Formats: sequence, C-alpha cells, structure tokens
Amino acid sequence: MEDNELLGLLKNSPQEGLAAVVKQYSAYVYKIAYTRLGRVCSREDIEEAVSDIFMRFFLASQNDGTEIRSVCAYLAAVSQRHCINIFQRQIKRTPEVSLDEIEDTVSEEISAESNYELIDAVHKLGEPDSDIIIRRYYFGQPVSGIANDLNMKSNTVSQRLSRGLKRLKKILEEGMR
Amino acid sequence: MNRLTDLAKTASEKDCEQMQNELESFRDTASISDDAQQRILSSVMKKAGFEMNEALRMTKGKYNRQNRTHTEKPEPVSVVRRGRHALAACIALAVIAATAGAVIFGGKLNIEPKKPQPQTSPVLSSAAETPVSSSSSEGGAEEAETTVPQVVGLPEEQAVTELEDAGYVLVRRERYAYAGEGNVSDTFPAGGTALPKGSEVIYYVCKGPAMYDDMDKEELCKVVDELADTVMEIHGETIDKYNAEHETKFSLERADEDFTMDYLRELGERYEALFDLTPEGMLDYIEKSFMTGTAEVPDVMGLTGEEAAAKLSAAGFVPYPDGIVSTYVAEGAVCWQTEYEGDIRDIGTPVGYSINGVDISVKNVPEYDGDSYEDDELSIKVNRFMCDGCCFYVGFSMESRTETHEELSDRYSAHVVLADTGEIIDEFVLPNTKTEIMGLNKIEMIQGYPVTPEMLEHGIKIDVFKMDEFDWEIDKPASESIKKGKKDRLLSIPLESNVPTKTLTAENGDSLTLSSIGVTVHSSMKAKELKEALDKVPYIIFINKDGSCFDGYEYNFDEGMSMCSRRVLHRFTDGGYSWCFYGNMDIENIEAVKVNGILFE
Repeated sequence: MEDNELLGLLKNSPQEGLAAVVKQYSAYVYKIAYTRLGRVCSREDIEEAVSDIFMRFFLASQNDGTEIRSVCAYLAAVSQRHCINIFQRQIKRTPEVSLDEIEDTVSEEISAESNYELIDAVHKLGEPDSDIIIRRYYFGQPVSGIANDLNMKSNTVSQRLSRGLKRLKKILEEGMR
Repeated sequence: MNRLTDLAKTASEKDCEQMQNELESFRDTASISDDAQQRILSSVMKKAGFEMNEALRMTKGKYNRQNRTHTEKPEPVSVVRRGRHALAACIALAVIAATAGAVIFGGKLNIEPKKPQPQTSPVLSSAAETPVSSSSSEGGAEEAETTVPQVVGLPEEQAVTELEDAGYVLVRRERYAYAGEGNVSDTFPAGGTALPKGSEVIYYVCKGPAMYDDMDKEELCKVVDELADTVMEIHGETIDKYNAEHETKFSLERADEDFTMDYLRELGERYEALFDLTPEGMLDYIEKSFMTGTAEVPDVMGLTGEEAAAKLSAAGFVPYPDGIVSTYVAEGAVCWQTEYEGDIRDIGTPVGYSINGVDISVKNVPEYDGDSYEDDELSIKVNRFMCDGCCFYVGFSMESRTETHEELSDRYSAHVVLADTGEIIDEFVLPNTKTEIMGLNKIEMIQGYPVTPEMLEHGIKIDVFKMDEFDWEIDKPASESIKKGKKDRLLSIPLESNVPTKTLTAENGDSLTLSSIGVTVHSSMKAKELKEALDKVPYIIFINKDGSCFDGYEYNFDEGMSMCSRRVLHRFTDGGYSWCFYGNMDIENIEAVKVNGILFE
C-alpha cells in the first residue's frame, strides 16, 4: 500500500489504517529499535518501544496540524528520538523526555540547524557509501550488521566508512568555501 | 564529524525525507517474525483503544518484505568455559590495570564498581521466553485500564498479592537473575505499563544468581577454583596456606553443592583491593569469562564513569576505571577508553575508561598569538602558548643565521616566572623536551609543564635567555648548569589568568590559596619539618559550609609526587613549600581546609 493510501485510510478508518501501518512497517520500526536498544533492553522492552512509536505516529496522523509526507521518514524520525530517549534512560544519562516533548521536537523540525547540507554531502558520496554512512551514523548500526545487510565483508565496510568520512569532510569543507 | 554522529538526535522529518532512499534500503533489509509482529499489533491496537478482531490479525509472512526472519536477539551465547588461560589473561589484565592504577594514583583508584546488569547481559537475557499476549482482554474494550504494579525485588508472595489486587491474570515463570532467590526479578509488561484489568502479566521469580543459568555447576566450580588459584598465585599465597588459615571453609577442591555465593563473595571481598571490584563485580567478571563470541566496543567517551561502566557491561565487556587525566572534555566525563569504539573484541575483555579530573573551564588562558625576538643572528618565535588546565605548553621556533642546530641546542634557557612576584618557579634549557630539528640551523620545540593554582592565580611569564657559556653537566640538575651561564634576556612572554581564588590562613601564619582547580599552601615550614609532618599526618581534608568533609589525598613522600583521585604536586623552596592539590574545587562551598593537621580557615 502506498503512503497516500495508508494516510487516507488512517483518516477515514483509523483502526484499519493503524493496523495497515503496523503490518507494513513493523519490521522496519523493529529493526530501528533493535539497532538502538538491542544491547540495553530486553526483547519485551523493544517490542513495547515499537508499539509506543506506532502510537505516536498514530496520534500525529490524527492531528490535523501534522503533515506527514512520508510514513517511512516520519516513523524513522519518531523512532530515533524515542529509542535514543529510552537508551539514555537505560544508562541513566538524561532525564526522561515526555511524549509531548518528543512530538514537539519532531513537529517543530529542529532544522533550525538544518542537516540539509550534511545529508546532501552524504549523497554526493554515492552508493553504497551514502547507505553505509547513514546506516552507521543515523541508525547506529554496527559495522558487522551493515556488512551482513549489504552482503559485504566487515573490513570492506570499515574501509568504506573510513574513506567515506574523509571524502565527506572534504566535500563539507569545500562547500563552506 | 560531530554533526554526523548527532544526526540521529537532530534529524527532523524533513531530513529523513531527504534520506528516503537510505531509509528504504534499511527497511528492505528489515524483517520480523510473525509472532512478534502480532504482539506489536495487538499492543498498538490496545493502546489506541481498538478491538483486536480477526480481520486485523496477521496473515503469516504476508508483510515481511523478505523471506528471512529478523534475528530478534543476538546470537545466543553458548555458555562454555574458555579455560584457564583466558581467565588468567583477564585476571592478569585486571591486575595490571589495578597495579598500574596503584602506581599512578598512589595505590588507590577511585572506583565505582558497577553492579551486574542481568537485564542487559547477553547471557542473561530471556531470549527463549515467549511473552504472552493479553488474550483475555482482546474482546474487553470496556474493561477498566490500570497500570501494572512495580513488584520487582519483592518476595513472590507479596508481588502476587499486589498483581492480583490490580486485577491481572498471572503467569509464573522462573529464571536466574540477581533479584535475590525467591524474589520477583521482572514482569512483562513492566511495572508502570498501562494494561487493562484481566490481562495476563508474566512475573519472573528469581531462582538463583544469574550466573548459574544453563551452567554446569561442576564446571563452574572448577573455573572458580582456578580463579582463586590464580588470584592467590598473584597474591603470593598458596591454596594450602589459604585453606589452613580458613580451615575448611573454602575448600578449593570441592565441586559439589557446598559451593555457594558466599564463597565468591568472600573471595571477592578478600581480593577487592586487588581487583577493585565488588563481589558483584567479581561475579560479573567470572560470568563473562564463561562466554564465547565477540562484541563491538561501544563509544563511552563523554559519559560519566557510571554510565560508561553500564554501557560497557551491557555490551559484554568488563569495565574498569583507568585513572584520571585531564583533557578537553567535561569534568567527570570519560575522556579515554582503552579499546576503541567499533573494535571487535572478545566478550569479557576488560575495557578501561579514564575520567577527566580537572575542569578545563579553568583554561581562561587564551592561546598565545605569538611573540618573537629577532636580531642579526637569531630569531625566536613563540608559536604556541596554551594551557589545557593541567599543563602549559610553549612552542618555540628558533632559527639562527650563524649557529648550527647543535650549537643552538644548549645555548638558550628559559625561566618560568610568577608574573606578580617575579619568583622563578621553573627553568629549563632550550631545547628541552619535544624537539624537531627542522634544518641545520632551525629547531622547533614544545615545552610543557604542570600548571599549579599559584600559576593561574598570579599569572606567569616565560623569560628566554641566551647564555654565553654553558657546560651541560649531565649528573646535575639543569638549573645548576643554567646558573653558570651568563644570561641575557631575549624575550619575555606574559600570561594572564583570572581563575577565581580564595585565601585561607592558619594560626601560625601560613596561608592557603584555594582556587577553582586546587590548593596551594604557602608555609614557613622547612622541608625537613614538612617531611616529618607529612610522614605523620599525610592528609588533607576539605570542610564544607554544611560541615561535611571530603578528602582524597594519599601521600607517598618517596615518590616526590603523589596522586590519587586528584593530582597532588608539591614543591620545596628555601623559604618553605608550596603544595598543590589538583581537583575541581567548589571554592564557594569550602569553608576550611585542614592540611597535615593545620587548619586553614
């Protein structure tokens, strides 16, 4: 089901729409959560986190003021913040951030310091380096996991990461001139 | 690359849209088991207040994008013994770490031993447990919702009463954990979760320490005996001697039911000073030595020691504090880890972390923007002059039109002078420390030396001298050789500082300067008297306004410099001594300081 169909279903029949989103994206959200929390949370906790993420998505979808252009992207943003919050709580690093705060953060698009240039620079690296960098630094996926997903050797991924970062730095520096 | 590492925290929805292709790629490699998907759907629908009817149930495999099942837990870690060598290696590393710490920090590491974390330890996770969905509440949308009580740590009977009173249907499970035998170690859903009455709640009863999980008891006993054996070898004891001293309490040969937690606890307590691990830490350590496999070292830079220990432990490593240093990270934060982030290491590998001990915010000293001296024959340029809160660094670049680099060496000296008083507090020959010979007649060098509170209080300047004669005597201090040379001052570099200070005085007239990074004592006491005093009363105590006290000083006179949790440096002069205690001082809160029995207030 395409995003516009999912979003339409969510508006017209929230229950069916929510179920469809969960069915279509649960593996994706679970993987994001597992990548972030796999080492500090039990499976039950991760599943709980995933269901919370879908709830947040659902609440946002029912809010007329929230524009969701891409389910995949919106879920990624919500998932990352929620999981980082849980992770920090697990290691007692920062106080808990409330649901509202997270939603606000997402909806306000903290792109006051936009990551546009950074992401644009990452794209300039081309495939598969951009994919590797986003997986490593956005999703926090370990090198071994990236290697497995992309059918590469870990050494290759490490090398590409290392070289990619150097090239990225160069691209960013050139962009600042 | 901070922006990159912060991307997960800072990326907005719009940013994510920009990364759509990469996100889709990530999604393409995601899959989930049907059961897990069903549980999540059930949970979400409940939270949203929807009924979970048959129409919403999953068709198995339908929505998995690929025909493989996502691995929901790490590969189960088989519990096998790695053998004595591996264990001994771990012990040796721990001992080396502890010994190194003892040497560096006066024999006392400021260690916050971590508690074992059964929830996060790979071997202890309940991968095989299958949570029960709340089937009893599927049709009960009208049922009142309440929250699962917090019962972890309670005796089973009490926990059951609370859970039943809350209206839940209970499922009892047992597992090994650290909650204390007979106590509830966990619930699913967790305490505090909103859940309709009538739902099923699994509670786990602790049936013993987690380390016994799936472990051959006899095998464990052997390994622990080996641990004891190795520890005692290191400690210069023998098993026989140990047994003789402790009668038969700790028979190291037995491998039967007498083996108890007490054994390990006493063992841990006995050698706590050696390992700087609590008994629980010892257990964690032993437990991980049973695991096989590798794990990726996490990044703990910038975390507190406690956070770092928890994160390293959760990742399968044995964390240990590796001293205190000073760098440009927040005070109290980890600024160094012995194994690099992203490296793959055996589970159970000891990973050390160093804590930053000095608040670098005292570096109110700006980086020096250069000064120079030039005449027909010589040019000297100061190209770096900075303070990192712990050391001053001065970089010199010297070029001569008449001298070779060999002649340049040993012809110049520098004094470090207190700016206010003119007192020379250090002197050295140029080049002294890190030197690069750039050419026949050019030398670049960096001179670094410890910063003391008095230097920050008064400011310093560096005077550079040219010496007409210089006869380097290798057996004598540089200062004596410098004194022989006739000196012409070539360059004077001032350094200002505005570190807040507070002065306290003692009845005998001695004064003590308390700055935000430490203490300097100005005493009329002669070196000999001081040595005697230090030998007798080697301590410093800070007395706070609320009457609370703290200390952190261990003195080793033979070392000449003593450090423990905070750095201590003292210096003797003919007129008395200056004594510096490094550490981040809350000077507003400190009302008095007691040094070697003398009260400064």
